[in-house]
Amino acid sequence: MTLDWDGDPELKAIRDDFVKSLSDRSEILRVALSQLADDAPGALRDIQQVAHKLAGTAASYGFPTLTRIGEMIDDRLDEIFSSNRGMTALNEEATRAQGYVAVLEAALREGAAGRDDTGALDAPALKSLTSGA
Amino acid sequence: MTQKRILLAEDEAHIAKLVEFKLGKEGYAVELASNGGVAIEKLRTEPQGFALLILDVMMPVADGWEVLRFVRTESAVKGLPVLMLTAKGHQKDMANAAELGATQFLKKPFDPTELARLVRKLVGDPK
Repeated sequence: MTLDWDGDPELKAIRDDFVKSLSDRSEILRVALSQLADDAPGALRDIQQVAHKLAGTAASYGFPTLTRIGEMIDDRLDEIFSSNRGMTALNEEATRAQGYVAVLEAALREGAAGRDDTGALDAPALKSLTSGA
Repeated sequence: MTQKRILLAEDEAHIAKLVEFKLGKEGYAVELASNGGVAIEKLRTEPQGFALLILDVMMPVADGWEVLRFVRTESAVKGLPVLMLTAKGHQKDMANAAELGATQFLKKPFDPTELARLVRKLVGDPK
């Protein structure tokens, strides 16, 4: 991205506001993770919403890794919900989601500190989403 | 001369702020509609008020497709250029948008500088 984030106080404030919102998104994920066992569909929808919004915004603010992780999780959950495989599949996904949501949560914490953690993309829980495992 | 006005239909506040900032710096006046219903209302109220509509796809009340259909069927705003912000399934969205008469597409997340370049291409200088 070609914006000079620190060169304009107004732009810096806009970015700071986005960075601050990353902690809120992390909190939504934390709550969703705690609800996965009791309400897999609802919790997975909440996770997907966070992922989808990150996919569409984060890179515009200089966080391409967050966008990529968001896309991967959003695509994965799209596939799960559109396949109509029923509650068994959703409950299986809930177990799997613990892994990739933890990666996203950690990346959000890095983002809240102003860092885009490219290493997060190497996490096995994410790699398995693209390898078809 | 007055500033050219751009209607931005976008429900994601963080994207809206960035677009308002960047296009504002370029000299355009940006008016925000936080959902598709508000966008349609603004276009009904001021059919000749805007030089460009920047339109997100996924929005509450009325989505981008509904707004685009309104624009292309309502004679008072039919000629308004529309820049669609697409996200998931970009290729599918592009095909839909082309069929419904969008003027230009930009995939989210986008570089705000690229957005400003496209806006200038579509509507010319800010004044």
